[in-house]
Amino acid sequence: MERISQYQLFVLTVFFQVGTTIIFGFGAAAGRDAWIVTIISLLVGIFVISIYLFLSYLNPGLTLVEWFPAQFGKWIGTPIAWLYPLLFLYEGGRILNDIKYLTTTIILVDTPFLAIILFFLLVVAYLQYCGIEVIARIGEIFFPYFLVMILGSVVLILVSDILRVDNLLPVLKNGWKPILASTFPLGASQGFAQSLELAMIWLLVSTSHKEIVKTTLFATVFSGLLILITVLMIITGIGEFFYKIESFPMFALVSKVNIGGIIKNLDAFAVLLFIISAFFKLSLHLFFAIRGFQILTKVESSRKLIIPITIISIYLGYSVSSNYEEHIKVAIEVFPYNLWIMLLWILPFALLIVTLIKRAIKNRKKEMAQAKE
Amino acid sequence: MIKDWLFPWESHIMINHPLAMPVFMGIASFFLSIVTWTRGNNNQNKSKQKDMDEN
Repeated sequence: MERISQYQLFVLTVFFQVGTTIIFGFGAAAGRDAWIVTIISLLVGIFVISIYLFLSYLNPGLTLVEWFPAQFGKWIGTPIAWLYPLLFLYEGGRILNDIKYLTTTIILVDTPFLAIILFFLLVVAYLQYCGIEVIARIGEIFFPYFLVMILGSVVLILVSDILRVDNLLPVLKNGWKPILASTFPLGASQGFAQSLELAMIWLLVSTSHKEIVKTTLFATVFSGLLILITVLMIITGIGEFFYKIESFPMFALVSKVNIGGIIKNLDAFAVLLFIISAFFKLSLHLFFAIRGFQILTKVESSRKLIIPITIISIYLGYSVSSNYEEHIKVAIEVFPYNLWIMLLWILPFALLIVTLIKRAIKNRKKEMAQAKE
Repeated sequence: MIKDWLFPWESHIMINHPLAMPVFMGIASFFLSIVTWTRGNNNQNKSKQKDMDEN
């Protein structure tokens, strides 16, 4: 059985939660109040991740796709469990679309989508053959560089004197309504409630459940702060109007960096940050999908599933969206409501209730049996 | 119309028919569950056969 360390769990959690948010922005619909959306989403995220961790404590030795058959029984639980690998696969397809739109818009203009998707997936598929230990080790290697690049960008942006705190004012101009609308379901689900997927690897961490809880929650706070810093910089740097309309707001911000006419055009930094985080998020989505398929089809080796799932991902990467506007519209207006609410909120909460009731009944029966004796 | 429900992951279909994707996933997960149920029985039979052979 493959094993990952506590630190590797931390790194993978941060990469997974930050994902492509760092370039696309967070809570843009709330305009200059997006930083409030980030804070509330982080708090809601901590709450919901605690619930997931509690579920993993209540279902020891089982992964996410095994929780449902274990609690709901095989006739109801198995179809519910199958929804998750399908969701991971679809989300992998969406990440591929994020990559294809950013690369074809900014760095590889006029390059066919298929070429980008194919080469990216070749590397990701190879990583699936290597397993989660190698994915985690590569994450461990890239993580310091990732942080240095973010820190470097922050320092250069601050030195460039392009941030205007006035852009944050007035706070709550439109009241709480747009903030709450941006927080749920999109803000709290994007990255944070999505961490339910990490329940596929919590079992593989070579430490106690208590340490997994601490590491995951610490990583969540860390990711939340990274996103918050990014959001604050983008709003103060490019203003509310451009934050709302820019396709890649972080990219727009770093493009403004100019230190004495010598250090400018930091576009490469933003692209690298995006490629690294998208690469890990996609690798994890596909790993979770493959592992979910393996557990549910009871195939002995997950290697048999890598090629078929990679082929499906290539197809999804090509077909999920036909243009950038539709891609974003689905991400904001459709996907969180028709899939995330059900799969990341309703079903886990229903599972929690059923698990607690079953435990209470079991304990009561035990007590009654003891009383009879 | 039928084509819309066959490829519900495509963005224009998700926008025009938001329920197509959840319905598709529900149906797909039911059919995939049949694989789980049948393979589960096969594995149980295999392990029973193995136990009998060993005994």
